[in-house]
Amino acid sequence: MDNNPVFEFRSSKFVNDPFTISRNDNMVSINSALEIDITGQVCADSIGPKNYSGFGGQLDFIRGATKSKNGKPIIAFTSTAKNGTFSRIVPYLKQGAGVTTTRADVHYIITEYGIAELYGKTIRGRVKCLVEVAHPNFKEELLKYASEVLKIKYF
Amino acid sequence: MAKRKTKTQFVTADESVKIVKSGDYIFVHGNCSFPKQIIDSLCKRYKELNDVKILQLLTFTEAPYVQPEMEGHFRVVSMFTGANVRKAVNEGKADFIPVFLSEIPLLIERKHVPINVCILMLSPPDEHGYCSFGISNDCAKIASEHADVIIAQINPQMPRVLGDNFIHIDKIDFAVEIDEPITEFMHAKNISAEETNVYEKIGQNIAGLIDDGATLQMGIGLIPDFVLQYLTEKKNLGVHTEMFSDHLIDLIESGVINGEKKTLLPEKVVSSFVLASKKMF
Repeated sequence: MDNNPVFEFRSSKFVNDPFTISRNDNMVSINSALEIDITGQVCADSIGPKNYSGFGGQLDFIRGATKSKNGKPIIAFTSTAKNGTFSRIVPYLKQGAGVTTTRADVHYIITEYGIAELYGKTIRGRVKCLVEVAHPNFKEELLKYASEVLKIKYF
Repeated sequence: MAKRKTKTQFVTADESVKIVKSGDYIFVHGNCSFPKQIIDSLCKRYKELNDVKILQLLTFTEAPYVQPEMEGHFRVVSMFTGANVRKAVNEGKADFIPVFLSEIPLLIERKHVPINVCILMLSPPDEHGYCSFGISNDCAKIASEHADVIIAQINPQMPRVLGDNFIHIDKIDFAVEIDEPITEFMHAKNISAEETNVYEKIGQNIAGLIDDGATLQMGIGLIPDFVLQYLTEKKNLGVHTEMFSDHLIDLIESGVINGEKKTLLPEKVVSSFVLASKKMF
């Protein structure tokens, strides 16, 4: 990197500014998360009430990629955590967890089971596609919650 | 920008931190630019300092100012929490500000977080007197522009990374010449075959959404590593990202990433910091 003109380093005020980011057409942002509820609220900075990391640039780039021509904001994670004992796709976030990316901002959710495109979808539509990319061991629990609490009984 | 009355003084690490007084807010250069020896000198003074705030983003080496004996003397204010201060934050011994990385500079410019002293690690001055912020511009350059006092480790091993990434040596109040290797960032790769299979599927799913000519932002960790394996047949990719790691090297060298189709700063890999091994530097 030493004296290499390929690299252009600037402040996060410029690089992470969603308006700056959106000036790149075909912007693809790839970030990760700790958990997501079945309506699309993404937690990436806390484990319940405990601080884990921070906001960082996740929402900066999601909003920048949203406004980019043909942009694609992606959040990708393994469907489960702790050796398969926890689903990252959950009925509701852990008590005390913070929302890093709101359900109005979220677009593509990717796990090893596929791609869920949430943007512009109804809550019912989100439940359907998030259950499709959840780990099979947890689908029943998600559908039970959707049915009993959200009153979503068919897709 | 604060007025500079003095010319740069070249001093030892211990001498450089004598300027710090109780109650000060100190911004510390983060990521892999943590000026450890100057911070160690600062922490040696803990008994004579009270309520000094340490403003920081991610750092990787140990954080000496969160040791139990430092309580009351130093208090970390984290704007992005790493493993070294996570326990302190969650035990109420350090503070956390929820803020977007794009807006930390606004917090600084608007004095929501004051900065009395900024402690940096920079490359040596070039023939025009400019030091590079090297591998970590992040919020450090703006922090330095709003600090009353700048202390900088001048490290010949810090690469001279280009961009809006320089500060003139005359703006540095206390320069400390320490030649030492840059902290390298290596993330764990020892995962099971089963986990590898899971990450490969995620990588394939993501790669399927990336068209030729796309501009990429990636975070850190296993997912970016696994995505890149499936990008080797793509064409004319570009990069505009807050940070990157070793995973980009192969795609840049093979020409898959050439930035030719970028609509902002074409051909440039635009970033604000890097966490990587020395082969990148």
